Amino acid sequence: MTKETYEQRILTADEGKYLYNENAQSISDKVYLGKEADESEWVEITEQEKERLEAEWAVIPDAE
Amino acid sequence: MIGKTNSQLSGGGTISDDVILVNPYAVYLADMFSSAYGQLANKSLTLDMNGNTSLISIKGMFYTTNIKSITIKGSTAHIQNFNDAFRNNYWNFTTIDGDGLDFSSATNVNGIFQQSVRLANIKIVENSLAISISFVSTDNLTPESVSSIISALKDMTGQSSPTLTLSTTVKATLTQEQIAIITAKNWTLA
Repeated sequence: MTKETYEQRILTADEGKYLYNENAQSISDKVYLGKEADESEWVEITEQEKERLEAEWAVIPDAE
Repeated sequence: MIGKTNSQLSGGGTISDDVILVNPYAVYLADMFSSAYGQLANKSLTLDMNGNTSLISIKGMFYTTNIKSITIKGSTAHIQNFNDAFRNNYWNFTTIDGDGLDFSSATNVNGIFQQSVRLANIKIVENSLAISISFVSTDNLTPESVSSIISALKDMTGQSSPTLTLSTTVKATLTQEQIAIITAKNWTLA
């Protein structure tokens, strides 16, 4: 039997802001970090930046 | 068959046009039914992968199709590119079942379920997922589907932490135990 204990790290965005991870193309207001995750991959963005990114992701990509 | 079903090629036959029988030599099915929302409206399709081990891309295959469901037969374990495969199915798309999706070779799952807002039932092969994936548009995932997604996350201990993005609604249904399982596999939950 193996017992593993680690600290659960949770990032919460300030009010009216969001957390953004460019590599994962992910936006969230609350993030539960993996046990070895690098929290510096998450940066805080504004509502306007969120809307701009989501609009960018909504663009239909070119066919392969 | 690539681009046509078995019955279309044979001029009739016993296999329904709703069965997509993938030829053993097929490599790319990218954008195959993209924007066929009129032809595929509310259809339940079967994607029969049995016999094929060479397919590497279903990029955009069911992009904006208005399908209802897809039953996977056989394995998708060799497919690398799932980019936008089931994206923009706003209206009826609720289910991916059968043998489920196997992401063992996946290198791109960007936008795979983006805007497929009614998706509720999804089956993913256990321990097959090792790259970031998003279900941010899907508020209706059943508890069984959420369990399947969590089981699909490969243990990434010792590697960089991928991100599982769920909708705020679905994330709120997770138990502390489920969150602990996700983060213990070195996945980040967003």
